[in-house]
Amino acid sequence: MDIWKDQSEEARKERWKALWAMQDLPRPLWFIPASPVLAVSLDYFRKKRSVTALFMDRDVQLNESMKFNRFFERVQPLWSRDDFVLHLQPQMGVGVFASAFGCEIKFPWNQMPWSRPVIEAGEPAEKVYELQPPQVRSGLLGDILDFAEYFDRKAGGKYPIAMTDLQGPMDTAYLVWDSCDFMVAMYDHPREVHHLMRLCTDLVIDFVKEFRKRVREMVPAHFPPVYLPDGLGITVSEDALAVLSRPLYEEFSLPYLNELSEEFGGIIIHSCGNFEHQLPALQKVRGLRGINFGVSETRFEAVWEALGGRTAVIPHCSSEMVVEDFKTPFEWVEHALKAKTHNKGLALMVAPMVGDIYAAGRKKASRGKAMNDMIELLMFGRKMRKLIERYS
Amino acid sequence: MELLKELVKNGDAGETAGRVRELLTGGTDPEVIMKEALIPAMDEVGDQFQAGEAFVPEMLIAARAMQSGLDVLKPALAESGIEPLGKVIVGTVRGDLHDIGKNLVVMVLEGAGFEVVDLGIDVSPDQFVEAIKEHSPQIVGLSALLTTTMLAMRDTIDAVKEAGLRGQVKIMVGGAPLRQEYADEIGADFYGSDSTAARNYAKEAV
Repeated sequence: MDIWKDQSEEARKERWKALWAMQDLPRPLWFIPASPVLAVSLDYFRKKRSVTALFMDRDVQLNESMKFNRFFERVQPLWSRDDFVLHLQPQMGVGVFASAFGCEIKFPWNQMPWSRPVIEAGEPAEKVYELQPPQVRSGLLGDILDFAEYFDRKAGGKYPIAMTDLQGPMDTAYLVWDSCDFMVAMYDHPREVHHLMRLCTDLVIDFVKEFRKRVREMVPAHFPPVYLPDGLGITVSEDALAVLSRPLYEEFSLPYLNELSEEFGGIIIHSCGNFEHQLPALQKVRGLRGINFGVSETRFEAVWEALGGRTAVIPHCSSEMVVEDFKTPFEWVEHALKAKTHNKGLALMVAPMVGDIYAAGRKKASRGKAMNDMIELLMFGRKMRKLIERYS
Repeated sequence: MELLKELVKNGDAGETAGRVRELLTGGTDPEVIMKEALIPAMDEVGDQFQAGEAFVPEMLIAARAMQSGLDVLKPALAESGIEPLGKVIVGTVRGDLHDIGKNLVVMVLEGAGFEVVDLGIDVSPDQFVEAIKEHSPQIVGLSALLTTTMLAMRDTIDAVKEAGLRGQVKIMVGGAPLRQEYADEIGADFYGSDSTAARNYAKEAV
């Protein structure tokens, strides 16, 4: 049986639907995280080229995204044959929801956008009551909605439109209120923390509903860049998982995640850092559709044992990660494939950095180094497929 | 003293200050208060943090309690001629606004008895150089959270070298994207994976 046979976009989408339905597929899914703006920005960083217009100008963002997608469409069937589903995504960094509360957002030439809190270190917790409940077009959110609509119109519906960088309520609260003071407030001012969490949660719900109205096909996933049909949930970044104790997490984040999950039909959580201590708390998230993590920090086995078979498990391993005991991503992938007990819900996000692929793919083929890079990348896809075949 | 340790560990800032006052009024040597209660309490919280038994908020409230105790204790320590263990300047490097890791290092070092000059976030190489000239620390700590900004650590170390100050200071680096290999490559003296590692190194280095 050729488990790589059908490489059409429709077939890839069907495989993702089967994954979300927790079917035991003939093989795990694997995909390269090829969200266009993020991939292009990595290429820009390497060339020391300004990323400001890429994030702020809708035409630059659209043109660069389309160019990247055309590139990836050409190479995907050749070298990776992975399960990534191409999309367009309006992208202005992690602070767009925080901007709706009045946070200043900076667009530096050589970095991802960043934000400054509106409640600064040392200011009274009661300042949360002065925050105006944000609207769906507050701050940069209006631009994001316009970008989404524009991208969809200009691309003629060729690609689904993925959600912008959706930091969960807790991550956004960390940006709105000085992060250290916010954590101390969990002990000293729990009511004020809950007040801000309420505002952040309401904003996410209202915004996602508005985003949905603006495009033909919304993929309510920003990271991991999976194919997630609307109605099966949303992804949220939830990096607070790693830095909070389980009781604090259960008190201040869990109720709001449950609310989002109930509103949108499920929830996929992304977190950096080691959050193994939170696995029991994650088991309490109602409608947990998936969990995404970096394998350099959280062990695959721990997540698989706690959640495997119940929810999608989406580990992330890249060439740039230093993973203890593993010299290459392939060694790690083999380790994970040996440890898995079935294919239900397993999707491996594995890649050389996609900016590298893009940069190599656009170099002149006559240059020896460029040829070597391209061959190496072709080998990457081949090696991944061989490994998956061996353990399927 | 045991009660004071518990108050610090539990992050009770108000009670900590009050207990330090009581002990001082009762004639307890300020150095004993420092070395037998405040420092061991923070060390214990730091060790729990490293072991994954305490988390960032618990570190923050313990450090705040420690600070409230120190504020009461400092005049008495000065009167007794007690010197800090050493002086450290700490900052998040140019282009990086993340401060949680840097703040934890500051708190843990202060808790261990160091005088710490916190340069804040987005600190340029020149600002580090000027701070070294002004404060004459034994140790400089550089923090970064992003792969894009950790590159400024190299610029900072190079600037310290160019200013002819490299021989006067030990440089320690830390932050999520860093590894020992990178610290070696840029010529840092020490890479710490967390604030407790930074504290342990600083104690050895002075």
